[in-house]
Amino acid sequence: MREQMSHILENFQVLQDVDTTDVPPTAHSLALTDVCRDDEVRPSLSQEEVLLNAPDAEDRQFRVKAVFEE
Amino acid sequence: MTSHELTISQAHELLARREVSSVELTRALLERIDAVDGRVRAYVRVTPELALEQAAEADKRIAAGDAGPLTGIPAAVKDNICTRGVNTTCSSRMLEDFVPPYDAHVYERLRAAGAVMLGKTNMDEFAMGSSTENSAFFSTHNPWDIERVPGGSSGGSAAAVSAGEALYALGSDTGGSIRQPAGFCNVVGLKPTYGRVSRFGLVAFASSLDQIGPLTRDVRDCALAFNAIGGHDPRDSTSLPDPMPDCTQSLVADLRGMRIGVPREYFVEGMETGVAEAVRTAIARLKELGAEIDWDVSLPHTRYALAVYYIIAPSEASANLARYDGVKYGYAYRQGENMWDDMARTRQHGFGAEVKRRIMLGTYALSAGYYDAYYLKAQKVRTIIRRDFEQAFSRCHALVTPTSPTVPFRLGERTDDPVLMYLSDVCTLPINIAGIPGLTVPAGFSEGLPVGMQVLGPHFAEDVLFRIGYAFQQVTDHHRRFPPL
Repeated sequence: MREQMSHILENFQVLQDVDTTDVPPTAHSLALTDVCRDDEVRPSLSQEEVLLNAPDAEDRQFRVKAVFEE
Repeated sequence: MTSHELTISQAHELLARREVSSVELTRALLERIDAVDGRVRAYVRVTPELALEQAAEADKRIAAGDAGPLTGIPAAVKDNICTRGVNTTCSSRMLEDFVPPYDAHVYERLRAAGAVMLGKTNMDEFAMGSSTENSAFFSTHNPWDIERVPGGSSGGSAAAVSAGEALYALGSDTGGSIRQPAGFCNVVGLKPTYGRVSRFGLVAFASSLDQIGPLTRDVRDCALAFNAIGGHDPRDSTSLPDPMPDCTQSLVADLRGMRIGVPREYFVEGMETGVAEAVRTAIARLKELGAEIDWDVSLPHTRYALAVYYIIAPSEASANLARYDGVKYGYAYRQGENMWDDMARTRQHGFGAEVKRRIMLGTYALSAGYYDAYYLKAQKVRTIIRRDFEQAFSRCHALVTPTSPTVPFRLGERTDDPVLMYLSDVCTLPINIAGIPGLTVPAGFSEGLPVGMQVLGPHFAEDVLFRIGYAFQQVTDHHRRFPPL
């Protein structure tokens, strides 16, 4: 895997040949900006449905091992 | 003609004339799947009960005179498109047991249109790959030669349509994942303009590149399926508010007044002569149909597209895939020393090699100290590649290229060399970078294997692509040939 990664990264070097002075970056190919919607209460999934795929749940919450050491 | 070889339009006619019912058609397709899928392996999951239930509903709609063009027609859906109550695995161990609590927008649309879903199709894990060999479950085989790959990542969808295991299918395309397998399997495939089809409920890979589209037997079917799934959806903030035209209006059988360019950089070194010949022959047909062919078009920065893509797509993927932490859904490792250990091992065991490779590439390209050299540089070159296309479309209505530089390769042939595998998308990934639409149509055969022709247009020009593809199919019969299964 390490050798393959180096090979892939070598292939990225070609970009250094391109003059990008004063070229703005493109994050998205379309010029949609500030897409907003009204902040309204709408129907959503129930807690039961949301937790249906949880590997471990308790008291309507996702359960994980303790985050903080004692 | 047997029922599994029908187009959507032909099946619709038969259903409308009551010569066949949707339940009968669905049964015939399920039998076909039983007969050939052991060899093709297009499906991760077949859903016969659901399909027959939906078919019975469709028959009621047909009887009530409430049938649209897709009502009662059996389809396949790529397994990264959420289907409520039906596992959606992305062909990954990570999501093997994931049952979505909601439907993707496109599946909602298909259901509203009265479609019948036969099952979920195999893919490269999280859509990362070009051969469907990266599926965590099994490889799909090309119906034209069972020893060869169907392409990827929507290889299951392409193989299903090609092998008569569905009348059409949905796929997703981030760098060629609809068009390359469609070309390899001799079917039609559309990557719509970025933003045309809602990504709501599509499991995210690279959000600025991903687009859902149809794989079909002919161009008319492609327009029908695109009509059904396209259009605005407020649940995807990148969904375009522009109204969708009826794309069947653009199916005109001549190309007079059209100027079609052939970008010289796409007949690249390493392209097979049989592929180049088939596409050149196809271009000659476009000329006979009245198009003016411009052989002097250049997209000078094409050679940088591969590097741009393999920086941007893994960067976005590394952010998107951070959600798989074994807490909310999906595979969870629980024998670790603490929560962090559980998370790390969840990823270690849940993801396959290619997914890990791309997450590492992405996090590296985004990391402090490398961000400017890799990610920001790639985004700037992305702008330059987009401008190349704008320049080309200022003199041409459309461009044509080969869909892939080679015919389908053998299973296992490229799995040890990621760069060689990445090169199979060299003709398709610049299109996602620019966000423009691309259509592949069967263009002929080389060594008995399918060759695709890719038609490109400016943003929103799906109608132009359909017109060119449709006219071409009126004077050719490559798309009517079926694999010897």
